Amino acid sequence: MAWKPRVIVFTCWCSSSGVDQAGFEGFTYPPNVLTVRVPCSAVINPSLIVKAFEKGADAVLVTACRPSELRRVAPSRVTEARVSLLRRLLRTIGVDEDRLRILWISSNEGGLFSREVSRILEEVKGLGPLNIGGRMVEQG
Amino acid sequence: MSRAEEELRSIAGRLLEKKEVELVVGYEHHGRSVRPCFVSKPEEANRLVWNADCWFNLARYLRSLRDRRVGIVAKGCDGKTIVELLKENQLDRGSIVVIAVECNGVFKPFKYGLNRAERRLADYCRRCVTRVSPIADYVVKSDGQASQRENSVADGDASDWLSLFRKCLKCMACVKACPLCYCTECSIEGFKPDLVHRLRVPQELFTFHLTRALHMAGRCVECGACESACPVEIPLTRLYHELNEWFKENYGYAPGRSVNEAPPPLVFKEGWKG
Amino acid sequence: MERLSRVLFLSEDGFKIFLEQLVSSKNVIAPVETDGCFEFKTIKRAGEASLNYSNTRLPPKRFFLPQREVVFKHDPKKGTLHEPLGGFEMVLLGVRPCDASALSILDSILLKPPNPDPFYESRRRSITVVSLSCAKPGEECFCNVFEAGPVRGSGEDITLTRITGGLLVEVRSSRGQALVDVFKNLFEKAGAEHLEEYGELSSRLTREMNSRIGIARERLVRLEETLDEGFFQKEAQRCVECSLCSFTCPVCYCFDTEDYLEKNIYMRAKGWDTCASPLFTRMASGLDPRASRVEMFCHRFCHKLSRIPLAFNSYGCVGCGRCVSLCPAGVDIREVLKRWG
Repeated sequence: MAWKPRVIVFTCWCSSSGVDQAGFEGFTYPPNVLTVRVPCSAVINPSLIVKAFEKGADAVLVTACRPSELRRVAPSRVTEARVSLLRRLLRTIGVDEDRLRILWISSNEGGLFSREVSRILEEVKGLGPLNIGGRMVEQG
Repeated sequence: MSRAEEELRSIAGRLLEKKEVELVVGYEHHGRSVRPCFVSKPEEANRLVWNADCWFNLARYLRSLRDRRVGIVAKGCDGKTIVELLKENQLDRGSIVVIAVECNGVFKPFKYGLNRAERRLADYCRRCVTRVSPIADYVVKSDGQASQRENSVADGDASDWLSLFRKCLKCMACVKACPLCYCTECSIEGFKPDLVHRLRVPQELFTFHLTRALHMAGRCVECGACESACPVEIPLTRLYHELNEWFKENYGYAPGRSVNEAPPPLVFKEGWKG
Repeated sequence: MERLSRVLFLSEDGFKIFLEQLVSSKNVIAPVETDGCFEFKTIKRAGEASLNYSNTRLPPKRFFLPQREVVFKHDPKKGTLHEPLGGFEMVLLGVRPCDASALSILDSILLKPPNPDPFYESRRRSITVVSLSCAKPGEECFCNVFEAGPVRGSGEDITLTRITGGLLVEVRSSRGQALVDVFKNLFEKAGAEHLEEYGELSSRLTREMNSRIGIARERLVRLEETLDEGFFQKEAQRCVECSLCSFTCPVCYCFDTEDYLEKNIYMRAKGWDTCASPLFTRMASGLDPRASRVEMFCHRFCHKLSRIPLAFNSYGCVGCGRCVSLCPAGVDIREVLKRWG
């Protein structure tokens, strides 16, 4: 069986309606993209992103509200900083940092989501399988 | 006995005699190395030593001695730890007397079954620029022992982190030796089985180490206690150093510089570069 | 297990051939050097083994008691229960006498009737332990106290001792005899001069170690009755509860079990636990009968030096010195020994 990249998408409440919008508007995105809806992107514990990689995700995408559309002290900025820190960590341990991305999606941007996800999937295909779980198991 | 040691002992003895502190935390000889010791009588102050074997971060003990007036022998990194603990409201500055000793770097500890006689300067000391604790009540100058930094052999480069993580025993020594890991319920010890199980599952060591790295980011003072305590010698400080670099690049912040410098995650504001 | 004792001699060249043939015919695990420290690894070529080590950083305990092993698997859909019994044939080469003695202690604890540990038993049966005597005891070693070395331990199948011109081979068990029989033509009968040299070496090393630390271990069992709180309180202050002592101990056998659900299969795993961890004694209700650090600290020494001897008639320590050397805070079991022994 040919390898298919698995992408986990953490979506905040607002951008998850963006993901729904993609369906309403008839846009398609590949079936090996799994979405996890959380109340706000700022509650995504970076450990969970790490756990997703451990459990076999080849890439993780975090979608959050556009910072310009928020009233409060930009939770999206917090997420952005966390993702940036985690990207640095992944680079340090030798995992391609492009496997973790952040994307600004508003509730009406279904088309953007579908386009971006397909593009990221293509790129991950180029990077090849990550297989952290398999690589962590001892040999011999 | 070096001059620095003599000075250290006299300061500690004086503090105990005047009852300014109940206890002085320092180092004493033990076998071919040194170990932490607790001096509570003035006449015992001459047990204290100070040399390049004193790698253990004594600030680790301060939280458990919170209700007592304590004197502490502090290297640069021990002092930075105290600063970080003060920032996090874990200590009371009024009850600690810091005897800062100038540090020229410490050796990697000599561990069981090592087949090498020569001592190497610890990896993290090579990167360190802090010689004296940023917080000090007394300062003991080093007596000009040649810095070990110049003529030391560099360690190999760690590139394959996954195979390093694979060696990990999940013994939690890195967490328990760390003065800044003070959570009573550690999420990676087994209190959150959804994240990391109590027993060592090889795949989970990835999450284990990355989670610890994320929790240390911007807090780690790079004292190397975790790395030196590790029985399989995973160069953890190198990993945490990278994350500290990220904080330096983005916020110009380094942990342990000053008590008045607030950690960026606490005072996060919009418009900050991230 | 019956104890046969047969002494043979293996010349230096003979040993090389023995090693090569052993590696090509059996699964061999031997110390391999990586960056100055040694660890047990499966070797594919005889050259990979480095036998000029003082001791390995970690004991060979994990081959008998893996850090985590699945005890049973249950598939609710099929209604099957699967108990994977581990253990495949291998030869553990170059174990130090102290670590080999730890195995005989584990035997007396884990194989005690009526409920022997089947996992340990099957591994113990399939692994042949070949020990190599210490020529130069390490700085922190005190195996003489528990008669676990430095030349001869108590749990091995074959003891190798380096003497002039080769090695003295002592066959200690039927399993060892079976291994020797495979390579029959390499071994010679040991001469009187070999035995004499062996005797000299053994008494010299024991004398050397006795001068460092010589105590009457029989008195240690009183440790629990005469617990000196002051001493332990002072020592426990230093302890950071890092659990390195029990993870690197060749004898520590305490375990924890955990239930998992993985891909709709229930699993129960068993693995190393440590008395240094607060989770070790804490019960589901939140009650912790050994909550304070001093109690936990006393427990470690009482268990090793007093409770195990009373219950199983062997000491819970072999004097390998790992806990002394690796402890970041410098807690030293030898001080306890000197005080109570």
